[in-house]
Amino acid sequence: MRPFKYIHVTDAPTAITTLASERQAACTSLGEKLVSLACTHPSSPLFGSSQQQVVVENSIVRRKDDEEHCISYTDILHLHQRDMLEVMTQVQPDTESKKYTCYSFGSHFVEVHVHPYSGEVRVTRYVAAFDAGRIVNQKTACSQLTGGIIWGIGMALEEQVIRDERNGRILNADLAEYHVPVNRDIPDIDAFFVEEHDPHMNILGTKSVGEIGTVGSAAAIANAVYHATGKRIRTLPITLDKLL
Amino acid sequence: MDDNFVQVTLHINGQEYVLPLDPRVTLLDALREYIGLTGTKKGCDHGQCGACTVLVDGRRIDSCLSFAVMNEGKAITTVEGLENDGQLHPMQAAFIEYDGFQCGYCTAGQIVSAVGLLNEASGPSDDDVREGMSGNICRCGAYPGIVEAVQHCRAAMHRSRPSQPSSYSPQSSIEKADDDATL
Repeated sequence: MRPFKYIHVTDAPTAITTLASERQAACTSLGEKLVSLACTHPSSPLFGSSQQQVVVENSIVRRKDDEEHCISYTDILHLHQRDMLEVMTQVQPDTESKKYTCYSFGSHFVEVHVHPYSGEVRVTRYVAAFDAGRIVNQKTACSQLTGGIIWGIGMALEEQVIRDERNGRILNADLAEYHVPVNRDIPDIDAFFVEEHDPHMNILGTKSVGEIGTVGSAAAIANAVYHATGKRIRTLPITLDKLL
Repeated sequence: MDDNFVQVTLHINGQEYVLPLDPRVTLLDALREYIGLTGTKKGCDHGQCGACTVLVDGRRIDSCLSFAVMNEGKAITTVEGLENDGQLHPMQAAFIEYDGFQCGYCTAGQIVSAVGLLNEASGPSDDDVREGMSGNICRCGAYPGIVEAVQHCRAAMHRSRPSQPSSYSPQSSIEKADDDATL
């Protein structure tokens, strides 16, 4: 099977969602084509059977009422003298997508320490819970969340593009001067999923994971700084000078 | 051969390489462009990111900040040299087990740097590992996994070689004052 994918928005976080629907459609179509080939060749044990009378499972096609009448995928292709089978399907968003919003959601809980003399802010604890539908790969999805949270810590406390206002030139265009979080800046992060299978999004119940880790992260840190200092800092990054 | 070139002999991962090099060629470029050991990565070429970390006589350095000619007569270890007869180095195995990477670009530097860290006197806590590994930037944010990998590898290596002095050192356990600053 060679699935062909066309989407008119390049949207990495929703890749699994669109891919899931498209794969499901392509696999269904492929299954129907296999059954059709199995039932229409005179030498096939399933010759004359209808789509409803057979089932596709474990790399064979067989009659539902008689396990003896079966044929493997490869034998089907051999009968028809084919090396491979190709289908092309297209998936469109259906009317369900107009009735429901299907976004991922997260909650961030942050503890910060603010140095009383220097104004230095350190994130000391971080807990975050997310609903991103069904999680296909726990390990990589959790890593994605953690990475997003770390981006948020950088956004809140460190990262800033400094421009020469006369000509727009970026003055801190290297890693020494554009501060991104280093290992010492990051505490233990407890990020986890609350899995809720969303039946409206797609057949698998998956939702976007790519960006949800960062959304809310900087805001939670700014709120924690307010809780610690009583100061509402409305521009990022929250650097020492803004707290003195 | 250009008049300005010099013959440089480098010992890398137990093998000897003799190269005619412009003396201004960095160790990083010598490894990647002249010898073909591309495991070491060029992240910034300015000593700011740590992706080019290699071990020279067991000490970790940014290879982009060292000229190849400066490293004659020294034992250089790159990420390719960590494995032992097809077996992964314990640090490499730990990075896989504890998910210490995402895109993988900083990973070679992280692993070599972590091996170098274990050769240094450093404190036992997670914060000590964080401090010691802060010369290797990871934009994907795999830091928690990296710290876990280093700590587990250190514990495993300590268990398997109890006669070796551990890397724990009393002077590094002094609490830094700013760690606990609160209002």
